[in-house]
Amino acid sequence: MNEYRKLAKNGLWHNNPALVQVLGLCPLLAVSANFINALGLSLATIFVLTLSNTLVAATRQWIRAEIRIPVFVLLIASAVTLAELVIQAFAYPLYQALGIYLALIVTNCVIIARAESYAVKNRVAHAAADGFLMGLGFALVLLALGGMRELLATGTLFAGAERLFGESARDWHIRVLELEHGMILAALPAGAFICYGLLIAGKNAIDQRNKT
Amino acid sequence: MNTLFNLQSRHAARTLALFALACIAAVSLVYLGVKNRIQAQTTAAQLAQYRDLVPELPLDAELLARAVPRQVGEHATEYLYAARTHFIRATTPRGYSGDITLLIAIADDNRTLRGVRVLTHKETPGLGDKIEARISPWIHGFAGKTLADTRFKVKKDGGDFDAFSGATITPRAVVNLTGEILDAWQKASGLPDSSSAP
Repeated sequence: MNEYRKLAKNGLWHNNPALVQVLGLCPLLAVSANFINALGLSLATIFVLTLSNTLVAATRQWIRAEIRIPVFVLLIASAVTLAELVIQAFAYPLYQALGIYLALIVTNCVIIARAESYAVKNRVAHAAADGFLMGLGFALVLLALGGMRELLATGTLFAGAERLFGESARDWHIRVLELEHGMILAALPAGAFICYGLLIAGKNAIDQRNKT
Repeated sequence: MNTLFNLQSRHAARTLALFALACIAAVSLVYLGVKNRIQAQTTAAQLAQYRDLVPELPLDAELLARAVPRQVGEHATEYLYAARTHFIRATTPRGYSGDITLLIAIADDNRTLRGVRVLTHKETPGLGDKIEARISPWIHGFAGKTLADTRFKVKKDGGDFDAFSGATITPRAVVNLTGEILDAWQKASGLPDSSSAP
């Protein structure tokens, strides 16, 4: 139980892959332009991270040190391909929305980092939990960014929900602010970096305050 | 040299090969399992593009299977007539990253475009992909145009269509293909050549 609590605290806050380890920025910044796309990529990343950590931990007795990197790459690529096939088969509009970034989860350094530093040295149950919690930590940042940027750029929230939740979700679209012209910068990569920097600063400020 | 084929290296190589085989097998199994579903989804998405252009098109999963090959000008296309509209699927190799396949809908009068949609492309995300209807309304600008009132080139080439900042080749390929198809179609149906281009 102690180990799970430690994994949760690390994955979600103290060693958060996006805010502390600063990994996986390519998908983080490219797919966080709106909340729903961020949610789609979050679910895919959590799935892949949990699956790949599980596979690595389950086969760790056969992963000799000299071939561990190619084996990690094989397992991660297989997990991503599986995620792609499942999403393509069951949520095609989401597959179209994520486009190339679904396949690019393979390049997300968080996944190979967790395989190398945790999954290959721990039990399957713990590795799976680590994968899930690190993925959740990444997802929370992705969602915060998605919400922020969508709000600033278009004044809405949950636009495009029908891609994930079907036609009935089209009404989930909330118009929070009536914007003539949104802050276009928030929809562009530069704005993504700025919002991301603000999130890191915010986390550091909270840590600082908790220390004193 | 003797570390290359010693027992340890051979074991490592064998393990790696077994991992590769297992991964390929697992992925192949899942692929075979969902292959039909994916095909159904792709067909449904294509059909949705047809209905986007012509909303009165009946919901008919077999519709796409009825398309026939047809030569339109210099282009080998797939042709379908439904809901009093000529649907032409044509491909141009002149995209920035390769082939772009368009769905061009021409009205019954053989001269007015009902619209154009991009079916497949490999253009750059964030730049050329603005030809997609779900990313930018640019492609809607083809609806209702005829050769008589529009020059089918991008503005840079002396025509009436905007390009995208940072991406000219992609919209140029789309506009030119549409113009060529419309021109060839109009000529083939015996209408007087009313193109406004000199």
